Amino acid sequence: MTAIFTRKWFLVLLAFAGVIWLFGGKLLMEMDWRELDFDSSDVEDLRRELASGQVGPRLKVGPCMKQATLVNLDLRLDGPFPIGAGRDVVMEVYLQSDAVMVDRVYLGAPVRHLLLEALPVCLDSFALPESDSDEAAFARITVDFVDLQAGRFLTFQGEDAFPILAWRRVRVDWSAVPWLIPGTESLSNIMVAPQQ
Amino acid sequence: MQDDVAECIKKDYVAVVGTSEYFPILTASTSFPFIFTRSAVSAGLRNLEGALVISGGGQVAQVPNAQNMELGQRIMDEGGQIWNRNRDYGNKMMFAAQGIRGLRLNSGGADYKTLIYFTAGYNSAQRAAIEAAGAEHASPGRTFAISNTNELIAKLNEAAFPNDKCSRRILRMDMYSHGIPDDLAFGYGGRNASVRSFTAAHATRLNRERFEIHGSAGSIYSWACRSAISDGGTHGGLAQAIANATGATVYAFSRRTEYTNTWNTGTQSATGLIEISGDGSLVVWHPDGARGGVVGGTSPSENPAGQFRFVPQ
Repeated sequence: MTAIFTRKWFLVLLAFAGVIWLFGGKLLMEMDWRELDFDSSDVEDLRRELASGQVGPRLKVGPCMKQATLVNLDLRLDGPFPIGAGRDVVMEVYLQSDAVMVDRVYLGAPVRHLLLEALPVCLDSFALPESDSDEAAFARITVDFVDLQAGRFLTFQGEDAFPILAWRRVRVDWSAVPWLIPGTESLSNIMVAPQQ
Repeated sequence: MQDDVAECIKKDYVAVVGTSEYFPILTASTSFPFIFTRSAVSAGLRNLEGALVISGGGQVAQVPNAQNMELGQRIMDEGGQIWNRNRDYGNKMMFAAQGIRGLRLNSGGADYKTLIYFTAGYNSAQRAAIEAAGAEHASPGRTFAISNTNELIAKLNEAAFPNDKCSRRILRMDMYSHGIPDDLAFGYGGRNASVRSFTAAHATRLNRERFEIHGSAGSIYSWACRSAISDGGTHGGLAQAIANATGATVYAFSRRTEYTNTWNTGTQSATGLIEISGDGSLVVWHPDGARGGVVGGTSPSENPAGQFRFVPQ
């Protein structure tokens, strides 16, 4: 009886751990939805952009007063996708840097791979950032999901910038659990690393 | 006549207020003690910009109104517990409260007082509270709701006040917002945050003339975290870039800033603290703004401590 009880509870615990392992991130993600900004213009804007095919890199306001050049970026996206992704939920990816002349680089169905070719950048010289200590190399990645039907969104942002323009091949990983990085006291829920 | 008009200058004090988004998963995480320990969550929150707004140790005294005393006492006694359940409670309005405080205390010598706030993340009740406080403490018609950085730049670059022929100059500007290196992140934590970020590239679009006052320069204070350091660790960062672009003297921090005194009345009265409820959000507010000012924080410890002054280079 004890053996059966133990084995039964072991199986229950194993199943529970399996469910957490498989769906924990997704469940926490579902708890993270927030209402859009109290009006429907965001959703209307997104629907209009989707309908007109404005889904690629979006130029920022203002000309380049330095040297305009181009860079290719290969982004691999590893975070969990929310329930409903691809139907009513669309993904937006933003690349933020003074050097990059676009802000949003993607709008559309959630995808795992973004190849950004000939991305316009604005630098002090034509030389592209080659080192991760180059100030011009730093950029931030933000991944948003927008539920067009329910008018809600999820956002994944990092507090730290990474030398993305120097790495060129980048892996982006987000989590519904904000990362607590020992020693740095930073709170971030998106991680970026050079792709191996 | 032309010269007379050119010499006529009216000075503006400007307070710019970002949005204070919260992190709802942290609220949810307290329900999952098997995944997160509360201490780990608290450790993270301590270092989130100005997160621990509700501060213990306040005393209630000289409260003329029983209802206010009751609420003030309750906020002092229970604010921390409410905050544990609702991250909005003490945090959501902290930048707005500091902006109102700026209008009250930092506008000396200005002819006009202007409040500019980003609307993203604030619900209608919260916006109404900001508007009402702006109507009380800013100059008439000088409270502006904006939704992105382009609108902010346009507002700052305005050459004159309505119905006033004199040239508009900014004597002092205080910016209250989340901040990350190289970015005054007015919409940090919200969707489409990039349209509400303010970087060195944005600074170059500010009209330098707006900050020139009779051969002298206006001053700009960033009360956001880490405005004085770059992503690459260079001292100066965005603050130096703003000084170079505007000619103004810029004051900023390399470490995080703390808004822990926003509602902390210390030994003074808690009179006037109110709660705003609406759209599922309950927050603390004071119609006259923050009780205490922003102070420099302690992290990251490798960054130099204190407030730094930057002049154009």
